Amino acid sequence: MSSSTPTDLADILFRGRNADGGWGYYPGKSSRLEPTAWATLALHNTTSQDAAALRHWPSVHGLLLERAEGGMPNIAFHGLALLTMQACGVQHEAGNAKLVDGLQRVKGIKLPPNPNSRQDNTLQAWSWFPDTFSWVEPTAWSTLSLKKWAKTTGSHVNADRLDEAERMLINRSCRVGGWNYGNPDALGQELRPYVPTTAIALLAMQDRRTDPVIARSLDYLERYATSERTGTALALTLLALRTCGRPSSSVRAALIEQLPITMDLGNHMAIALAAYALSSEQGNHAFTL
Amino acid sequence: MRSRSSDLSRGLSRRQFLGAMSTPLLAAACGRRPYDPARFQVPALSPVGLFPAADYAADFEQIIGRGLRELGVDVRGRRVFLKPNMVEYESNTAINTHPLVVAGAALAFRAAGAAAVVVGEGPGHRRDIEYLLTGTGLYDHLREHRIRFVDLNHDDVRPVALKSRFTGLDALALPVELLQADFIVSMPKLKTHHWAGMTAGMKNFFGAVPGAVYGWPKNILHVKGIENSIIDLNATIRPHFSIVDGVTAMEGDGPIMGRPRALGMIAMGADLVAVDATCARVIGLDPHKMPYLEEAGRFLGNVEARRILHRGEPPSRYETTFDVVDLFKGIRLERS
Repeated sequence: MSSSTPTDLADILFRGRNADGGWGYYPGKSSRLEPTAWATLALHNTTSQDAAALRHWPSVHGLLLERAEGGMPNIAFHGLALLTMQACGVQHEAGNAKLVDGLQRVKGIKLPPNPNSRQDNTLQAWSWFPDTFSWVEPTAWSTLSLKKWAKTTGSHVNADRLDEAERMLINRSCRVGGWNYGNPDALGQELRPYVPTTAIALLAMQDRRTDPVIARSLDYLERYATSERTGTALALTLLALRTCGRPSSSVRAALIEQLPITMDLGNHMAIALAAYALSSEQGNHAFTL
Repeated sequence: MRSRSSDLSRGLSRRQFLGAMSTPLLAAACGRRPYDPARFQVPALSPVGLFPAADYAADFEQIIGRGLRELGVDVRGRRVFLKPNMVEYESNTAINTHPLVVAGAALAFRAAGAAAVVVGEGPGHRRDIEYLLTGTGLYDHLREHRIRFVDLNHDDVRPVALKSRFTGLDALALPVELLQADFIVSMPKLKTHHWAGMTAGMKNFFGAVPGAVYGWPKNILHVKGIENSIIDLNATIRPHFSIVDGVTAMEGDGPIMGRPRALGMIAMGADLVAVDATCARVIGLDPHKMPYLEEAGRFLGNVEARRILHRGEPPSRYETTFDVVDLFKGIRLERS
């Protein structure tokens, strides 16, 4: 793959864009919030592509819906889209402040202790969709988007929510560092962290690097940075290591090497993520606090 | 240290967890059936084929093709959807349906006259399908044979009214490509399962529920009860056929943490309940003691051994006793 790779990736995204201005996960599929956010971010970084799809994306009670055609909100993707809109200077038609309010109003449900795990089920962070349990990825994107909002606008965000979310992420980390979807152990067995989820959680916790759990997780990510060789895992790892000031050149090289398979599989989210990671050499503007 | 199929979001012990899951099934057993019996018909007899495959060097196109012929399967002109079980990738384990079995099935259905064959899966923990496809090696087989793959976690979705209501849900958003198929084939790995006793053709449809809508893990299915969800998904999707990878199965703390166990068979049939019940008996579990199979036997298919016609090899050729976690030792078959 040549050094023009980000352009090649952008070409795929331009070709895959739907008439409504958004992107499906795959060519020919209907527009969804997550690939639309990543593609908007990737193309903005290279071509200042118009972000009309996000500006008019449907929402209910301040939460962006997962599908352009309706359905339920997805809180993880809502957080990602909010970060994208901040990075691209896009104002949602409802007002970005309303999306921030919507995010702060929802929280994962509380559950009683579970004897099969050490995790604290009373911590309430963010779930994938309203009225369910908190998991790592929605909590990480929500936490990062609120931190970024506070930092860039100077607006007040609910510090108690952020504190509880950070405690939840620390509580759910795996013994060796890092995170999987959100269960560090079960039935006496230590569970394995996943590289891409660890990268997302570290982006959210980049300002807490002195915490031993975060330091251990960053070490874990650096050690296993190229162990999951996929466009998504390598791109997220590249973003996280660069944001946290760790060496990342080997990850970049592995990502470029992996691109033919990522492009062949055709997932717009993975392609856009790779395009953004490869093109944001000066720092990860969207995700850096 | 390994990843595990664990969704500890209910705050219950495993015993409490299973007890809670069984409640709607018990209600059903008391006469309040959450489905319309007129919409379902259990066949009088259900053929189930067991075919030998000593290891993964076998010719699976030939084996599965033989099974399709002996079971009278006609897929001429139909769009066939193969749904393997891919959960997590770790080398030297028996977690996933072997890619050679999947590829062999695709070639066998093509040879049988299918208009199109696609493969699709929506893993419940790992949302990065590129990781599972390349890790398991399935990607290379798909490319070699030009077989299209559908990422069920990220496909377009359509709300579908559930045809039974064991979960209490009215509808689920399901992947359009799965719903558009003419002939849906469950292709599980045969494994013991620490929450459900056993996972085979029926449980495999958890992977049809899209993560982009419901998240990772697919918490809604666990909250509503694994057993209830298995039944509602099968009653609604109505898969047409099952091909079970029992060449190397998994025993013990499945579906992730168990041990590989050589069994040497491929199980096939159009009645998924009968195929699962047969697999259960082969590995020494009593299907009548697994609530989802017992309930499914009332309206989706046959559990009773006398209503299952065996094709290929007799079950006695493969009968053994798989290790199970302590909680499920009580569902072991009492062989005469």
